[in-house]
Amino acid sequence: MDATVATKVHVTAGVSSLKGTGFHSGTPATKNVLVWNDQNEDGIVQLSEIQIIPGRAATPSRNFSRFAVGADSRIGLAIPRLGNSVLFGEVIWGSNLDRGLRPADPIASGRDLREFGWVVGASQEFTSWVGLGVRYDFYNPDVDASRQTPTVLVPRDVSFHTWTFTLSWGGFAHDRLMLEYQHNRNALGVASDGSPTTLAADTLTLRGQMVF
Amino acid sequence: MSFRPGIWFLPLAVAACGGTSSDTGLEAAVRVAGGQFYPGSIDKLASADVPTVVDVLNSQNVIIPGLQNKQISGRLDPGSTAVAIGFSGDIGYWILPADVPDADSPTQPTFHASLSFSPSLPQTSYDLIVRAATPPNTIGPATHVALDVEPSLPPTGALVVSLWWDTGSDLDLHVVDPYGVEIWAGNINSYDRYSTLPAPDAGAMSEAGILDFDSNAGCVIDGRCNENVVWSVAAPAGDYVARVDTFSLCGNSAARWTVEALFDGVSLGKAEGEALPASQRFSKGKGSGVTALSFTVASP
Repeated sequence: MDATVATKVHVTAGVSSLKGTGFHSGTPATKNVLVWNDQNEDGIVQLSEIQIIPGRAATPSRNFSRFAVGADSRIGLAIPRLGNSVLFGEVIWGSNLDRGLRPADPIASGRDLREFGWVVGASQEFTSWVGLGVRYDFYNPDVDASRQTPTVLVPRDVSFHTWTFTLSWGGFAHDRLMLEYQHNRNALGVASDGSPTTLAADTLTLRGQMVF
Repeated sequence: MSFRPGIWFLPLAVAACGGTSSDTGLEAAVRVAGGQFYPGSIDKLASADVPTVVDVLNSQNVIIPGLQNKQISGRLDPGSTAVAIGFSGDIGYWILPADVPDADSPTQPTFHASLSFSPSLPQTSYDLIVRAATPPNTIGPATHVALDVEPSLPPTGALVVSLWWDTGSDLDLHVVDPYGVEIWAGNINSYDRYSTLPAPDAGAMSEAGILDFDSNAGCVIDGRCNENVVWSVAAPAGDYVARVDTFSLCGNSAARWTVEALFDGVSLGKAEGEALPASQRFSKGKGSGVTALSFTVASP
């Protein structure tokens, strides 16, 4: 949908979907392997430290089904003398179709991986020379994830949350500088009690754009 | 000549902050595989009376600089969810989630840590501290494990063939014994296990030629940059060939290597060379590498 609902208000919206197949590569055959693990670190081979790992047959490559559906919308308001205001949002739902942050391979994991995410954001031009933007991005690459504590298996939140703030100087069709700060929350770190927590990943990026 | 209109983006600066430290702990004296690094001394953590570390299983108190994958394990008080591990006075420590209890003590969580040590460890004694943790961020008292650092000396044995190199590259030593058996990372022992089926002869295995370590394997840099094939008791008489295979330079431009064979402490030969990017091109495995040294062990 792409419509001008009032003199200065422009709305676009759409839905999309993708269905297809992913690829899981197979593994080559392995030979029998004799492993010596020097458990008492005495440098002497002892029978109890020898382990025979039997070879395995090759596993074939396999395809798997995957899909995603998404919907997005954008509302633009042209404010005289100030600039354009834009409000946008998007929601996605998928199965075995990752966003590049964490591979979704149901063959390797032994179960289907369901992904869910959404984005909202807004930007505002101040004349044609200064722009401000803010965006919040949520993405959970595996809504069914779990982790093993010493006593029980518990659900695990592996989602990524990102706040992005942007300030730009310069004309949008000309040379400009853009300063972007991203505040990230994730579950990639380990807290002092062993539970998942955010691993520091905030970034401050300065970009230069040249039009020629 | 005319330019086409276009837009170029140039990332100028990137910084990171917030959340648990993203410091990988590479500067720490001890590193724990799979652990989360926390800057700061483990000695200065606020300590509670519980949880405690019930016991620590450590098979060897002597370590060498650059030692990799030293295993320690133990049991923790019921309710413990993690363990903090680090050297006293080091720049940081490591948090490792606790594992499930063993069957013989079903209420006590366990931990299994794989430790690696800095190649630049001074020759002294270290106090490895292990502390149990529970939510919310309660750290128990310290359990101490004394570790003595000894210099990394060449191994002793009747015949020792050694390879050293000078950069963090993955070079492999291949030694072919007089029977034509090749000892390398894919066959670390010249003992023919199929000749004495059904059970391997542990004594015969230990007297065969053994590769002690696959250093920097797969470009996981361990800092040793040294591999040895050792016949601890007696080496078969005959002709030997030592080869050096450049598995990968791991991003380095070159690696200068030295190969030496010592028979009862007396040098049978020494060779030096340089591995260059072209050396990485050929197939890897049995028979690969360039011949560095040929020598003969005389009959007794």
